[in-house]
Amino acid sequence: MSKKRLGNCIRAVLFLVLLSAMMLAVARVLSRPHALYWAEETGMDLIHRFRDDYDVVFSGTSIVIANVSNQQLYEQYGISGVSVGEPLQPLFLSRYVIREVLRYQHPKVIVVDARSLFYTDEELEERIRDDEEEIVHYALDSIRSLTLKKEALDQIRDKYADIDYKAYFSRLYDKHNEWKQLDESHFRGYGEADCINGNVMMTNLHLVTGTIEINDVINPENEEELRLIKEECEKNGTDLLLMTAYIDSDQSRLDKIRELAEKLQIDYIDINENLGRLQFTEDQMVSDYIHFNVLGAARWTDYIGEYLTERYSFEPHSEKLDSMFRSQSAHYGDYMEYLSRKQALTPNCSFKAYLEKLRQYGPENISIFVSVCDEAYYMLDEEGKSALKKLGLDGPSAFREGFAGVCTPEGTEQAHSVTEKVSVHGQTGSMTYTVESAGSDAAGGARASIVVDGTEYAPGTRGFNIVVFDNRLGKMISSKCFDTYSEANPADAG
Amino acid sequence: MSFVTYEFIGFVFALMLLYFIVPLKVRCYVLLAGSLAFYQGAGWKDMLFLGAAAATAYICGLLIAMFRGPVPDRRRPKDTGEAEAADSGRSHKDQKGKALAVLIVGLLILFGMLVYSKIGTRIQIALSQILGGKGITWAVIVPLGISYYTFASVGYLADVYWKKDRAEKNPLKLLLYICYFPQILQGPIPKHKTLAPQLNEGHRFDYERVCFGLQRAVWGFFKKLVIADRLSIMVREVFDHYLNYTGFIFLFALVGAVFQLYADFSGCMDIALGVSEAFGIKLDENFRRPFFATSAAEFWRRWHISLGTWFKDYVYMPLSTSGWVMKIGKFFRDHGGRTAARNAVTTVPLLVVWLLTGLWHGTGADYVVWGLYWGGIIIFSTWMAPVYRKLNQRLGLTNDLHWWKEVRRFRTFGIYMVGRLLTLPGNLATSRWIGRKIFTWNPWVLFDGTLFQLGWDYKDAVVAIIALLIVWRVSVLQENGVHIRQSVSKWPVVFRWLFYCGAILSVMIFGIYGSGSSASTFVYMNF
Repeated sequence: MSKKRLGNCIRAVLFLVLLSAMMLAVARVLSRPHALYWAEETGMDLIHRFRDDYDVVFSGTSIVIANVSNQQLYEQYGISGVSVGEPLQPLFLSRYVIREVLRYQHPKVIVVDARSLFYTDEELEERIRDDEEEIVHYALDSIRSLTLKKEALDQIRDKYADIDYKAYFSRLYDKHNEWKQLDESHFRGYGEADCINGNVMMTNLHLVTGTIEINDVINPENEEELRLIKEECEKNGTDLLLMTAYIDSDQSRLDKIRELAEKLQIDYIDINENLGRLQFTEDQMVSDYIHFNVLGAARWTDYIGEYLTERYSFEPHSEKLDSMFRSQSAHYGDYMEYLSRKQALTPNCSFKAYLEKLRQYGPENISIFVSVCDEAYYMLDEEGKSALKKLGLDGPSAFREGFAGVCTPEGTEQAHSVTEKVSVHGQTGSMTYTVESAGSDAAGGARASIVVDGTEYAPGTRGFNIVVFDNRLGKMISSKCFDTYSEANPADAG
Repeated sequence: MSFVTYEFIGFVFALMLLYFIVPLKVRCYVLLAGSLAFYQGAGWKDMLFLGAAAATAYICGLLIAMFRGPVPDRRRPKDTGEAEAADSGRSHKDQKGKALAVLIVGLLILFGMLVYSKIGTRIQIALSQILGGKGITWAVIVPLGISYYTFASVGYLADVYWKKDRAEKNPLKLLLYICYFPQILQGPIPKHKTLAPQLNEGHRFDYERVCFGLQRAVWGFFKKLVIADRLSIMVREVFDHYLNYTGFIFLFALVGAVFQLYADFSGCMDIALGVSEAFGIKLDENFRRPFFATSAAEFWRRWHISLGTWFKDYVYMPLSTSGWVMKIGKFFRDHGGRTAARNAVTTVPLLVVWLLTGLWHGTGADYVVWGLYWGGIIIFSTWMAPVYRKLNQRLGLTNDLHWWKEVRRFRTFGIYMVGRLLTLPGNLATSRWIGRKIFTWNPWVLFDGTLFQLGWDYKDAVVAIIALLIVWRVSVLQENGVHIRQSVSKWPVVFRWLFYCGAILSVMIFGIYGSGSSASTFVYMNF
C-alpha cells in the first residue's frame, strides 16, 4: 500500500472515530436520564459494572424498585442485591432483562415479582404502545446485547406494534428530536438523590389510600413467560424466587399465584402471609397504593434477608462492590432518618410539643421556616414564646403582627411588622427560600407564604405556618399551621 | 429505496467498496448490478417497464445506426470529395427513411409506456364508465422514474438518428445508462454521449473526489431533511386545510412552498450528483441558483436544467427548423415583417415546449395551465424584448445596477410563486379560490402566534430560517464563483473536521425523520 493510500486510510479512520465520538456525546446529552424515578438504567449499570458480584437480582415491575431495599439487604445480611425493573414492565420484557443480567452475573437467586402475571393482552399491548414505547425503551435501552434486543423486538413486532427497530439500535436516531426540550437536566447525570442500587426511595406516608384494580386471572402467556424465565435461570444454575410484595386483600388472587408457583416448582414468598410477623402497618410503611416507602421496604427486605440466609451461603464480595455499598450507607441512612422524622411530625400534636420535637432534631438536621398569617399573638403564652425562643425565634410581639422567621444551619433570621408585609429570603445548602408574612393590618391583607425552590409549602391559614425541611435530602418533612389566635397550645390546624 | 434512508447510505458505501475493489474493466458492471439492485425495490412490474424501455432503446438504436451509417468524425476536414459525398448522400437518403421509421416506432413504444402510466387511470375510468364497470380490473402501474428514463432513452435514439452519437452495441452498458441509480428517480436527464463514456470506464479511487462527493451528498440531505421536510409540515397544513386560512397565511405558506420545492428537488440533486461524483462520474448540474435569475427565461436555464435542455434539443430545435414552422415564418414575414416572422418562429415551438413541459409534470388541467402560463410569460418577454431594451436604455437601467437586479430577481420570484400556486393545491378551482383569498388584508397573523399553529412550533421556524440563510449565503458565494468545498478543504484540519462532523450531526439532529415520522419521499419522484 502506498504512503498516500495509507495516509488516506488513516485519515478516514480518524475522521470516523471523531464523528462516532461526537455522535455518542450528542446522543448522551439528548437522552435525558430518566432515572430519578425509574431505575432500570441505574440497576443495569450496576449489573454491567460489577460483574459476577451480585448474590441476588430483583427483576420485574415497580414492586422490585420500591418494595425492596438492597442497601438494607447488604448492611444487615451482607447479601449483595440489585433491582432492575420498570413500572408496569411486562413479564416477557423482564425475561430479556434477566437474560442480559445472566450474561454478566451468576447470582444465587433471581427474584421476580408476581404482579405482572395478571397483565392481560390488552394491557400489554397498551403498555407497549404508550408514550412512544416508553416501557419498551426503558427495558431494551439498558440491554447491551444486540441479539437480545433484536429477539425482543421480533417478539414485540409479531404481536403488538409496528415497531421501529432503528430507534432501539441508535440512541441518536431515537432521541434526535430532543433538542427541542434541551434544558439543564440533559447535562446532568443520573439523579442520585432518589435511587440507590436500583431502588427508588419512596418517602411518602400512605399518600394515596385505597386500592387499584388488578385483574384476577393469570394470563397464560405470562405463565409461559415465567416458565421460560425459570428455564433461563436453570441453565445458569440460578434459583428463581417468585415474590408477592404488595398488600393484596384478594386471597383468591394470592392463591392463584401460589398454585402457579407450585405447578412450576418455583419458590414463592408473599408479604401478605407475614404482615403480622413483620408488624407491617400500612399507614406507616406504604407510600401509595401498592408501593412501600423506605421503612416498609426495609421491613420486607428483612424478611427476604432472613429467608435467603437460611437457604444460601454467600461469598465475600469484591472490594469495589463493598466500597460502593459502604459509600451509600450514609445516604441511605438519611432517607431512613428523614422518614422517621416525618413519621414523628405527621400525626396531630400540640404547638408546643411540635416545637419541642423540632428543637430536638436541631438546626444541623432540619431547616425551619415560620410565617404568621393574619394573627398569632393573641393567645401565645410564655411557654409558647419560650418554645419559639429555644429555636432562636422571637415570634410576633404585638397583636396582628406579621412575622417571618427561618432557622437553618447558617443561623437564624427573622422580621416582623404590624403594618407591612415582611419577608426573609436566602439560601441554605442547595435550597433557596422566601418566607413572607403579613398580619391582618398589613397593606394588601393577611397572608403567609413559604416558598422553597420555587414551590409554595405554607398551609396559608391563620396562625403560625411552619414548614420543616430535611437539610441533607432537601425534602419537606412537615407543613403545619397552629392557630395561636384561638388558643395557647393549639393542635395542627390542618 | 428512498435516498433519505439508512438503507440507501449503507447501499452506497457497500457499492463503493465493491466498485473500487474489482478490476477497472468490470466496474461498470458493478454499477449496473448496483443500479438494478437499487431499482428492484420498486417491484418486478417496474423492472419489466424498465427492461422494455431499455430493450426498445437498444434494438431501435442499433437499427437506426445500421440504416444511417457511421457517425461522421467531426475532426476530419470538410473537403471529403464529391464522389464520397454523393455516395453517402445516396446511401443516407435511402436509409434515412427506414431509420426514421424505426425511430418513430421506438418513440411510440417509449412514449406510449409513459403516456399509459400517466393517463392510464383516466382511460380506465372512462372505459369503466362506457362499459358499466365490466372487465376493468387491471391496475395501472406508474413505474418509478419512468419520466426520466423514457426521456433518457428518447434522447439517445434521437442522437443516434441525428448521428450525434454512436449506438451502443453492448446491451448491458445501455441498460446501465438508462437505469444508473443516482439519476433514475429524479434526474438529471442524461445525455448518452456525455454520460456513457464515464459510466463505462472504470474510475480509480480518489480520496479527495470521494470526500467532495460525500460532502455534496450531506449538503443535499441537509436541504432535504432540515429545510424541505420541515417546511412541508407547514405547507401541507395550510394547503390541505385551506378553508381554515386566509390572507397572509397563504402568502407565508406559498413562500414556504417555493423554498420547500427548491430544497427538496435541489437537495435530491445534490445527493445524486454527490454520490455519483464519489464514483468518479460527473452528472450534469440540474440547478444553478434559480432564485438569482432576473427573468423567466433565465429562471428556466437555472431550474431543472436538464429538462429544459432536453426540450430545447429534442423539441424546440427540431420544431423551429421544421418545414411547417418555416412556412409559418414565411407567412408572417410576407405579411408582418421580419420581426413578426422571428417571433412566429420562436412562439410556435415555445408553445409546444411549454405545453409538453406542463404535461410532463402532470396531466391535469392545472399543469396544462401552468405550462401555458410559463410559456406565455416567456413568449411575451421575447416579443417585448426590443421594447424593454429601449426602455431600459432610456431609463439608464442595466444589470450592473444592484438594486435593479434585485428588483428583477424579486419579480421573477413572484412569477414563480404564482406558478407554484397554480399546481400546489391540486386543482385550478382551489388555486383560484386561494388566489382571491390571498389578498385579504391581515398581516397581524404573522405576529400573533398563528404561524405556530400550522403543525410546527417556533423552534422549527427558527431552524428553517437559519437553514435557509445558510443556503442563501452558500448560493451567494457560489454565484460569485467561490467553490465552497475547495475553500473548506484549505482550512486547518481541526476546524475542517469539526465543520464536517457538525454538518453531519446537524442533519441527524435537526432533520425531520426518525421514530414517529415516516421517511418522506422527494416531490419529484412522483414523476
